[in-house]
Amino acid sequence: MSTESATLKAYAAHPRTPEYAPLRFGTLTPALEQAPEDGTYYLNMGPQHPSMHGVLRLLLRLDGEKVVECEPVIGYSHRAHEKMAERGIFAQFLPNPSRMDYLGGMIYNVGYCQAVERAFSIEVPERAVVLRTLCCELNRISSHLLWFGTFLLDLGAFTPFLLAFQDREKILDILDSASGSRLTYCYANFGGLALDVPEDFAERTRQYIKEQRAAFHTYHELVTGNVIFRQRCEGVGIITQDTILSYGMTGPNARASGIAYDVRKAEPYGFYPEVEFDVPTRDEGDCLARYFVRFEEMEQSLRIVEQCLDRLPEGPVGPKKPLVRVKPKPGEYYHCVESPRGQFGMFIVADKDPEPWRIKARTPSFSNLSAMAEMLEGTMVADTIAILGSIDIVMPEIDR
Amino acid sequence: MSQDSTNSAVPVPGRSVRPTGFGGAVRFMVRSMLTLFVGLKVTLKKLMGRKVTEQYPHEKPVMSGAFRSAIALVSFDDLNGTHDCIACDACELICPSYCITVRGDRLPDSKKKRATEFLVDFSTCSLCGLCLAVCPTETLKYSSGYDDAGYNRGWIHNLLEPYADDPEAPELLALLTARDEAKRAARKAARAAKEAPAAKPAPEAETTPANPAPEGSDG
Repeated sequence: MSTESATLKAYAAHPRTPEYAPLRFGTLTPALEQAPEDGTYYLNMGPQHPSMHGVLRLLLRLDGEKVVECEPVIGYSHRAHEKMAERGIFAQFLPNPSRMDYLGGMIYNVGYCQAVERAFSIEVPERAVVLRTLCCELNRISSHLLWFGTFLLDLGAFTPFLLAFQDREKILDILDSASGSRLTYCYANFGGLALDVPEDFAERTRQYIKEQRAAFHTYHELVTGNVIFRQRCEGVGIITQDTILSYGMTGPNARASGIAYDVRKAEPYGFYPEVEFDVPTRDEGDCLARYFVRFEEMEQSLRIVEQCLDRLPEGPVGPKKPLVRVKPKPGEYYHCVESPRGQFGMFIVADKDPEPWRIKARTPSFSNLSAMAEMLEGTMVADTIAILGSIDIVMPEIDR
Repeated sequence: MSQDSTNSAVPVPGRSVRPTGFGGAVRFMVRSMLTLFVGLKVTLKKLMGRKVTEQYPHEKPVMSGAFRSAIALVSFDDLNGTHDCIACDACELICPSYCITVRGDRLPDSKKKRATEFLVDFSTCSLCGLCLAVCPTETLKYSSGYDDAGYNRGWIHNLLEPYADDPEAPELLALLTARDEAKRAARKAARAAKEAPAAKPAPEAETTPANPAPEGSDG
């Protein structure tokens, strides 16, 4: 408990801005009606821009090549996931969380199950707990690898993208052999997992870990020292701690600015209290710091996966007959997990009905994107792409 | 100014130092050019290495045992190779995307129900597995097809298609009755076995079939 309280103390000790920063959605769109008179002009980036990571539209007011004002326009992939939760029983929401953040699908799926299990006191067998943690960490690596590939694609490098996808493919194959899906997992269910892992799972995963460690070396050789990469990342897109705290940014973005807040340490869940891992942080807060933090996080994730494999107990992975109808206890519950992008929380309001009264998802990318308006002011257009790539957003998770 | 190790193969997560003076700038440029060649070396190595792309139509992928494709009906050996769908509608009711339609009718001279129609709209299926979880007779499974394609919007999977030539109803009825009798006997035996050592509390005797049993006396 001492380590967590130290983390939380450090988090609380930081001088917070007195008020939350106002969200800047919808500030610029009304002004589009007339052209600005001070020589600035509007530029729409997206929603179909190749480097916009989905359907984000950035509305920029530019002075030459300098960004004067910026407004992220969101909502293009809104699918009413939270409303969908209300129209069915708890189990019928199971396929949805992994479709919010399709890159961290396993973590979202497990997070929702853990939220319901914690709320309604459902027991989970030890083997399922360890396997969930293991699969979540593999999923985190695959998400960071995809981020690595697309971030460098944004910066104009194509080879790292292919290499990262080649390694990501191995994770997808491993997770496919366990869960039967490659992207939008519905592996965990209430009280355990849908099915046990195959026999060669541990062997394949260990082989993968070995190959991935070698691959990290290749990535560093290829990218980390590269002068073009360095010039485009170093000192670009600095996020201050004040910005992070006032917008509620979490995850690698916060840790790259020196805030060592990780849900896995601060509010441990699953098997995380049992395994050893570090929370990598940087103080610079620029794109390069975020790059390093994510890389070190991948290495830590490999460490967790190894420990989980070593300590994988035998036994069942869930109840004999999957638990479909949970018995709700009226009340309000919140459970959060560390997704590849930060704190993902599930807020559940239940009454006696088998359907949830309300489910609110706290998704990290929304907070991370909210700070974009502030971060982009005064930067150049070319840096916009680098900054956007470095904060790693997933649009369907923002729009839900 | 030589603190940075930008052209070293081993990553040093340090910061590069901005060059000062003319000589520094030249050295910085030379070193920077070298880093480009380091990256090029990796690319060349990969170019010469083993190819990893799967040449799809020529090489068919091997799907994992857990792979989820559209649902299908399990064929049971003790039912003469046919399915055991009792048209209870549990899967249709639980499906979050309303993609299952089941219709059933009673077998002649019996109270037992049997599916006469089992349609799945795979284009809206999200492969959550709830239908498998609620199936009382465990007659649903995932198929392993990965290259199915629909040619119009009304693309529907008819799960009863492989069972079009079902065995004659009386024969099937006999098989079903026999199987249910066997199940009931097994359950009775298990209960007896549980009650026998019940004098001493035996906590591990929780292996009574907990599945919903009413399929024996359906209707």
